[in-house]
Parts: sequence; structure tokens; C-alpha cells
Amino acid sequence: MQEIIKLAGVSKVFVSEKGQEVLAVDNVSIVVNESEFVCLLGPSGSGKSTILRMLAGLTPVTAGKVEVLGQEVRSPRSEASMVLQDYSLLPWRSVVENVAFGLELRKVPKEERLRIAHEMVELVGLGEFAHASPYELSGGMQQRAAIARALATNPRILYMDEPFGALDAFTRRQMQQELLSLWLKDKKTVVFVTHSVEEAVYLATRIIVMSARPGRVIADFPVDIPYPRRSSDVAFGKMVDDLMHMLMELAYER
Amino acid sequence: MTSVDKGPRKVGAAPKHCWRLLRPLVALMMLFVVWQLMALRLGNFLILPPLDAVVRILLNPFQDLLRLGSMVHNAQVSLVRVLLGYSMAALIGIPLGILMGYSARARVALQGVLSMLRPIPPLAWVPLILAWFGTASLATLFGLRGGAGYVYLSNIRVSMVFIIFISSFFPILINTMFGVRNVRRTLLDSALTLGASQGDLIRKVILPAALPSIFTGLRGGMGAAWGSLVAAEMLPGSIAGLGYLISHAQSYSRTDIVMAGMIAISIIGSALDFLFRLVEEKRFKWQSLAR
Repeated sequence: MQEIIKLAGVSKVFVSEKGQEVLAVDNVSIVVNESEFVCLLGPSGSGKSTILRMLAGLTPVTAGKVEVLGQEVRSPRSEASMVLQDYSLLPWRSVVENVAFGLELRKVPKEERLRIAHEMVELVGLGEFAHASPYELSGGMQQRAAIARALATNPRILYMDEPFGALDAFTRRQMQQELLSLWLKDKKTVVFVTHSVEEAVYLATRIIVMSARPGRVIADFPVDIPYPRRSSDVAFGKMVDDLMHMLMELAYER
Repeated sequence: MTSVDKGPRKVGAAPKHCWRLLRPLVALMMLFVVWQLMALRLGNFLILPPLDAVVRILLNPFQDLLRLGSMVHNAQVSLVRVLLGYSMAALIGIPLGILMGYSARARVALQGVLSMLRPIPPLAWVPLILAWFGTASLATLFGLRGGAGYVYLSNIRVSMVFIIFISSFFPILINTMFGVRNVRRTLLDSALTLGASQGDLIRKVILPAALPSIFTGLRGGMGAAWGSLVAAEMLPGSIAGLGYLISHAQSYSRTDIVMAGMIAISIIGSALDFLFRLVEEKRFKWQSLAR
């Protein structure tokens, strides 16, 4: 398996407005191989979103090195796309125009990019709503559009920052299933940040558990349960229990 | 399916709809009635001319008033002045607001000057403006002494344009800056990860996102510009314009013309505001509906 993402001794210090230094990420080293579905799991304040932002080139590291495909990341790279919790669709553009946005920024001719965008919109099941405005869509539909937008540039890596965190339980499960079936088709590398233990066990091929303040890696293991997973499976339930236990212990230690 | 829903409801609700349109006018009608009754009772043309005298002036907008030209002519002169000072304010205020919203360094550098100038009311500028520009007009500025352009340009004094400029400048600047600063961080982040350059970010995300706020500034600026018109046109050297017309009419004790001029200023001001509101509702629907 090819190594695609590498964090080596990465730390991040934030300086507050009063000049106080806060260590958000402490000496984290992770190697992600191509086609892995990695979940970064941890309580809030564990620096998992910060790690994702550093991977995406949105936030500089304080110490250490972030590499994607063997090159140091200093700014966002074209091999990767990102999906954020709040969808971040441009409200003045229609769904299909939003999905075409990344291609537009890459100077793909209009006809071509709209064709691809329409395909993507169909792929995520929003065909009927291609020309609707984002504000006319429900949260789940908006997130589908955001996923279509991220996929439209055909990235090798997908960064997802709690993408389903704002959705209700039913929509959330539905979106998880859809994401998995998309992933199983071409196995793009996914780094998925979540604080839901169940979500991590449902989706990931590998789970990395983070502790809070400072953010450190405290566990890193594969999930060998075959897809499609069911929360009623014994192995599934045991893993959720074990993880929950681990996170609870962490909380008590502090 | 919506057309099926709307059809019958519209027909049944027609009288109600009319009433809804008329309701805001009720108080106005009452004001007019009280005005007319008071005027007739007072019988003093100087203090309160009857409504019908004022309306008659407004209904003959092309009739010459006090040898100053017609209401329409004076309104035109005023509009040109306002648009001139206003466009200058927009031309400087919008780019400066974008710069100050986008770059913290520019904001910090310019904050001191602007917060010192902002609280000064436009009228407080008058003595200084007169000392600087006197009665110089645009014709003087361009060195014109005659010809077709002279007639127009000599009517536009630098001092008037400046007053109008200064009153519309700050609403435009502040709202533009506010709009740019308040673009959601995640919109910028997601555009960056999709490959946006700094230029893309400004043109394709920041500007469209800030547009409703810039437009609010333009609307407020227009109100302020129109509001300072009378003050501007009372400056020495003015020989036309609605503001000049009403102050001149007052010295002739023609309160009817004063009131007709005031109403004309009100009508044009609301019409301009209405135009802005129309565009806001059409173009920026997403803003009120988006989270």
C-alpha cells in the first residue's frame, strides 16, 4: 500500500488574544496509506479538526512536518478536497453552480464543468434539485451537495470535518451509508473527523483516538469488521464499548 | 403546483389585498384633512397655506416658480449634484471599504483618521469648505468660460458636491467594510481547499457575499446624500436646485412653494429608496433566507 499522508512530529500552538499560548496538538505522527478510511476520534479540544486543517493546508504547523504525496503541505493542494460541518455552500449560487465551483477555479471550460457537476449532483441523488438554491434544501441535502462539490474535482484524498454532526440521527445514518457506498466504489483516501464513537466504528478502516488538551494520539488500530456493518453485530458492539471505555477513562484522568 | 394553489386564493382575497395597500395611507389622509381644516381656519398663507395651493404647484411641475425655473428643472439640478457627490463617495468608499475589510493592516492604519472624521456632521464642514473652495464651480475647475458645458457645470459648486460626498461616504465605507469582514470563515476555507487564489477569493466569494451589505451602504448613503442636499444648496453661489428653491421661496414669503418643494424632496427621496429596495428584494433574496 502506498503512503499518501504523513504527519511527522506535528505540534500546533495557538496564541490567544491575551498572548497566552495554548498547545492544541502535541507531537503527533501519523502515516496514512492510500485507500484507507481513517477516523480521527476524540472529545472536543483534542485537536482533531486542527490536524485536519493542517493536512488541508489551511493552518500552518508550529513544529514538525506535514507531507502529502511526498511533498510538504504549505497551502491547499489540488489532490485533496474538504467537506465541513456547516456545508459552506455559496448561498447565491444554485446547487449545480456550487458543485462546479472547484472546477471553475481550475479553469475547466464552462460546458465541461457543468456536465461533470450535473453527473455529481445525480451521483449524490440531488438531480431534481440541481437548479435549486442551497437555502431551499434540508441540511442533509446541503451536505450531499457539499460532498458532490468535493468529489467534482476528482481528488485522491477527502478530508471531512464532522460532516454529519449537525444532522438528525436518521439522516445521519442515511448519509453514512451513502458515503460508504461512494467510498467502496473507488476507495479514495478519507480522513474523517468525528466525536461519535458509533460513527467511527461504522465507517472507518482504521480509528485513531485522540486525547484532549493537548491533543495526542493515544490509540491507533484497524477496524476489521466487514462492510456493511450493523450496530447489532457482536464485534461492532464490543468495539464501540471498548472505545467508549477508553474515552471515559481519559475524561476521568483529567 | 403553486399556481394551482395561488389562483383561487388571489381572487377571493382581492378586496382584502386592496385594503392592505390602502392601510398605510389612512394616517396620511387624516394629516391632509387636518392640514386643510387648520389652514382654512387660520387664513394665514404665510404660516400654513391650504393644501390645495400646495397641491396645485405640485400638479404643474413645469410651471416657472419665482423666475427660478420649474420644479422639474430644479429637481434635475439637484439630482445631478447628488449623483455626482454620491458616485464619488461610492467610487472611493467601496474599494476602500473592501481593502479595510480584507486587510487588518490597512484597517489599523486608517482607523485613526476615519474615526476622527466620522463624527463630524456634514454641516460642520461648511465654513471650512467655503474657505477652501469658495464659490468655485466645476466650470472653474475645468477652466471653462463659456459654451454648452458651462451652463451645466457652473451650476455645480465644488462645495455642494463635497457636502454631499462627505455625508454619503461613511455609510458606504462602513457597510462595505462590515460586509467584507463578516463573510463566513468557512466559506473562505472551503473555497481555499477547492483551489481558490487570493484573487478568486475576493472576486468569487468575498465580493458576492458582501454585496448585500455594500448595497445597504449604498442605500443609506443615498438617503444621507439626499438629506444633505438642502444644506448644500443653501451655500453661497447657488442659483438653482430644490434646496435653493425652498430657501429662496421663504425669503419671498411663499410658504406654499416651500411646502411643495419639501414634498418634492420627499417624493424623490422615497422613489430613490424604493428603487434600492426593489433591487435588494430581487437580487439578495438568498441573504434573508440563508442561515
